[in-house]
Amino acid sequence: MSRVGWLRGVKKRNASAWLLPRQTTGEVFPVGLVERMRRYDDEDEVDIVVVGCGAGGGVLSQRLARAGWRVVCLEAGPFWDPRHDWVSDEAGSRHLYWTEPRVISGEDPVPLGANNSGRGVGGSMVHFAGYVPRFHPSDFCTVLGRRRRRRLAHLVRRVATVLPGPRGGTAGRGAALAVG
Amino acid sequence: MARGATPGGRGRFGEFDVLGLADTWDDATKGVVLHRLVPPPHLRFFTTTEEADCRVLLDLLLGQDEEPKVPVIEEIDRRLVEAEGDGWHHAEMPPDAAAWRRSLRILREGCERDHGAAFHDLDVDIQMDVVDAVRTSDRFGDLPGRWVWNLWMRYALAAFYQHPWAWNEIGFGGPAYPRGYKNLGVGQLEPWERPDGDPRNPIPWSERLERSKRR
Repeated sequence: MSRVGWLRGVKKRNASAWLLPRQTTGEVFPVGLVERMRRYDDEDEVDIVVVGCGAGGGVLSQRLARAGWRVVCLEAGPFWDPRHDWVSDEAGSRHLYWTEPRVISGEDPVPLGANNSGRGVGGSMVHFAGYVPRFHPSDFCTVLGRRRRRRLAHLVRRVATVLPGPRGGTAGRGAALAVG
Repeated sequence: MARGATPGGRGRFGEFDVLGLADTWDDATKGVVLHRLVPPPHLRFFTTTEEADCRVLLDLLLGQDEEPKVPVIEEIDRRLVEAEGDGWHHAEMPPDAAAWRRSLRILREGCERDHGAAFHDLDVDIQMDVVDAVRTSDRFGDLPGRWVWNLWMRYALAAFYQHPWAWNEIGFGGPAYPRGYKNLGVGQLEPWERPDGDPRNPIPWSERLERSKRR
């Protein structure tokens, strides 16, 4: 399939991937999308209420809303505006973690909070679940043979089609981790 | 560039001053980082008694022997007052704030029982022994030693390494947004980076420990 045809197919299935501004235009966070988000009154009848707007709830809400459902998604944290709410600093990012008190036990337990949970729209995805680095295309060019690279690139493209995100941006990189 | 401040005036990255890079950070980040240089407020969580031992304990854990010191106890105090925890505590430990109080009480009572003096008044070699026993023992009072050690170090390190003076000491360039990095690779430096001028261990914990064992 030609690249144009392939893109057209993706656009049809997943138009929200094109809601975000292109990285090349220098456009900033699309505040209008948050302001124009559909809201319901307490008395309104809706089709579904999703609790938690993370990787699961966020995608579910988007898919059902796109299919025409009346969707309410409840989220304890804010709808972050990355321009003002996020900083490029580890200690300054603690407010992104879900830090309600939890108890861990055993000899070698996994600590909760910063590692694996998040607060606000996006859930733990706002910090890539705490451990996912952003890969670059070049990361796949140095160690892989040509055949493996081709197969991996194909997989990345397939997974990227279902993830919203700036075109050619983070979506493909996140997807690459899923297959790698 | 003026020489950057480092904990204890110790450093091995020459004149490196991360604050000279502040204009390469976005405004939100710059605000958060520069606020750490504001003189800290009075303690609100630790009592005067707890503070005396805790200051000495934290200085020992972090090797902060001389001024200027990163205000570590103040940051821990702020986190405990504002309940800014990590989101978990171990089943054998109380929640963090209570665990800090109880571990400091065990430290105080243990020193009075075993050495007839307060922890902060003891000879530094004895303090080293006392603290290292927490790291290596099963129990510290009625608490598990390793989780007390985990609590102390977790809060101490987070408070120490969020401070630009600690970044100067280790040659860390701080926030990378929106500046980024361009020279990735072993031995490659960014234009603002300084080479490591002294490969020796700056905090000879193990040497000090060995010395106190030989005593």
